[in-house]
Amino acid sequence: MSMFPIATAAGTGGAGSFNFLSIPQTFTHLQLRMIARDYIAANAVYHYFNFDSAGTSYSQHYLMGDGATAFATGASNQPYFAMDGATASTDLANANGALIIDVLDYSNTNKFKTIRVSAGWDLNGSGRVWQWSGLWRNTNAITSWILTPGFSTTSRADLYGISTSFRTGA
Amino acid sequence: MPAESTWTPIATASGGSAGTNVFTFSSIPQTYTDLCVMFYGRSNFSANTVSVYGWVNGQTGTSLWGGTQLIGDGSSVTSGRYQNSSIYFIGQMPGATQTANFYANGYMYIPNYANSTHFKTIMSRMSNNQGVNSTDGKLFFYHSLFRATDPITSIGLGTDGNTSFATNSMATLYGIRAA
Amino acid sequence: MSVFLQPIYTQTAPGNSSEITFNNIPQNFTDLLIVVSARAGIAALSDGIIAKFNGSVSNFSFLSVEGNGSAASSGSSATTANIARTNGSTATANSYASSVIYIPNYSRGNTKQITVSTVSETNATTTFMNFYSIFWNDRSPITSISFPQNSGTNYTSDSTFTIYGVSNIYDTGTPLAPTLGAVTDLGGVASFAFTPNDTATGQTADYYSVQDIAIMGTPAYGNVSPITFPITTGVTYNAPVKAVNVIGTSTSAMSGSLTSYNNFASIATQVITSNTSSIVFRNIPQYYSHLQLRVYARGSTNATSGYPYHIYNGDTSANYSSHFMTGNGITTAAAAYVNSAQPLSMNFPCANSSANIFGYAVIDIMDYTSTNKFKTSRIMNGWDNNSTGNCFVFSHVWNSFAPISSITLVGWDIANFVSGSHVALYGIG
Repeated sequence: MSMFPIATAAGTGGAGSFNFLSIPQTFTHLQLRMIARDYIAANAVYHYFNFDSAGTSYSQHYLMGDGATAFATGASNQPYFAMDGATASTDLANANGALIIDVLDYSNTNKFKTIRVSAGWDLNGSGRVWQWSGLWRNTNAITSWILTPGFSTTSRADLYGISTSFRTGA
Repeated sequence: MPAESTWTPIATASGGSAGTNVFTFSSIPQTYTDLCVMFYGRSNFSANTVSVYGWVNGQTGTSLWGGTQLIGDGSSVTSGRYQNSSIYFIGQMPGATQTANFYANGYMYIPNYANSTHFKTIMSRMSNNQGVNSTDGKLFFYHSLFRATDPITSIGLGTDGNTSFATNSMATLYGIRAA
Repeated sequence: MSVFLQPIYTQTAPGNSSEITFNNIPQNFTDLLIVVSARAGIAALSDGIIAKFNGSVSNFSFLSVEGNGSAASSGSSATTANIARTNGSTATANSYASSVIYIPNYSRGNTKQITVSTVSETNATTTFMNFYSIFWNDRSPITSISFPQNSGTNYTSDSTFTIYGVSNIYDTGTPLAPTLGAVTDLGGVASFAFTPNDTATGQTADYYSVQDIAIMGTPAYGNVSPITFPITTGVTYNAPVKAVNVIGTSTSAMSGSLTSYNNFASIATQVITSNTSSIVFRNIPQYYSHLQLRVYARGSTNATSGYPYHIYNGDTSANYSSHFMTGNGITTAAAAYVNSAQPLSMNFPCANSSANIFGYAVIDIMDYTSTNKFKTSRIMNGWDNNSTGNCFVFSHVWNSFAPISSITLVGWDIANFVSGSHVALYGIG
């Protein structure tokens, strides 16, 4: 078995965060699977690694469809990843957004950390489909992952570790 | 005791048999966190390109589905949506008049399918590249919403004209466990 | 199988290679999933990795949806396909592109439809992300996958490539015990042949392993027979082959006591029966520590003697150097070939020498699998004509960190190796 559940976090309905701390360094890649509804009237999923949330170490870009147009944009030198992927507290009741976030080689200390994200939500008349990419310009191994701003009680995030092979097949 | 698998294949449905007009996964165990359906398919419907769609819990008479889509066809990217639908859309696959041996592939990811307090979401992707001699190839990305809080106990997949899936078509349902 | 993501192979780029290849992909999964984290030396923000299956880049086409940080677009190609992205040298330092590649039904007799998600993120306005739908119009099972970098520049070290197997078969019981076959001492390693008994539905093995029951130590793993198990000379081993899945493990019969005093094993021998301009050893096993080539040869050119050379992994670039010193019974000489594509490394008698005179060379190649060393070889060589002759000592280096998987002896100065020549390759544990 090479994909292992590490931890799960559930929303409280108020301000707060999903905290994945002391992430084991025994895997090669991480995957976070999340369903999310913000506790506030926003679609935000803000997240950051190793408590680094105040500098300019993050960049992100996305490709999106909103049901009418497709477009792409991005931002550099951000203090954290600022992605949309959650439904808002004022949106259609009981509807959540979904995200899958992959981080390859999360413990490699020679690499900055790239994330690849598939996300979206639909409200039967409006919605979004996204592909995000993000970069944390830090070679430190990822030991913690915090997601904010706070999520409904129907929200959850599941963190998985993925191992690799001992054989090269060269 | 051996560790449980994180991803576990629950069931596989295969095309090619007479009357296999739908792929149905029934009595889905409610013991996993999420579900994922991996799909590889072609239709026996007489067309170059055929829609693939789905439904849950046997409900094909309601109007509870809506979705947002992003589609690329090799020359442009478009976004669209559907709403108040009785089925959810996944994309397209080759039909009987398409060159032989062409199949589409895709996946559907259904988080928290066993929950009884919120609506159900499906994130899906389909690749239908039909080769250099066809202009019918497309990439599909959908995010769909089922406006019911019922746990998902069955999933059905079908195609235009209620025709059958071709031989070698296959869908596999996986259960995903969280920590 | 009872595992969704069974890791099959992983490679980390050595830093001087523009193509990564996975051979002998097991055929007993349903689908393949590949993750790639890559950066290359191309002077660009991002570049592509070409799709290459079974050694071929033909019969591919692809559709793409792309975002570049400011616009969304869709594209296609009818000739070749990009299967993933790399970051280039002008991307943010230490940043690597991230890709996932899904290949369903890779081992069946249908054409292949591949789904890719790839992002090339950098701290700049312009970045690239793509969804690809790739079509391979070939019904052959995929047995090897290569990742050639589009511009031919080398992957940066720390670029990683991992292949996972995906299976839709759910096991309900312990796998059936395999049947042990021949256990062969290969000098430094033992080969454990076995026959899987995965005929019962729901009782298939995810992988097989060999581990000594008393010494324990590090197991050797594999998906197909045989499994090569490292052994130390003079140590007695007794091991079975185990079949493992997430439900449990089953064990074959024991090998019986195996004690090796042989650390020198024959890998392959080529006997020349007609004029041959080059001699190649391919797919060299990677489980030895060192290699030795023993060359018995004569050349066809109209000269008294001549100089062939040897290269590695098909690298024909000026990536070698060699030096020699020689004595002919009267005088001595020395020469050097620096940054050469023809690193002369042997000398043999040719057509104008007395008939039936052959020369002999012993080429020692140390640490041939090391990814931290350039490959140095030491050559002892000579021939005698009863009135003339030469003895040579050569040194030879290949300026590459890549493990040696093939060796080519090129006739060059001697034109051809003539009938009666033979070359033997040995592995040293």
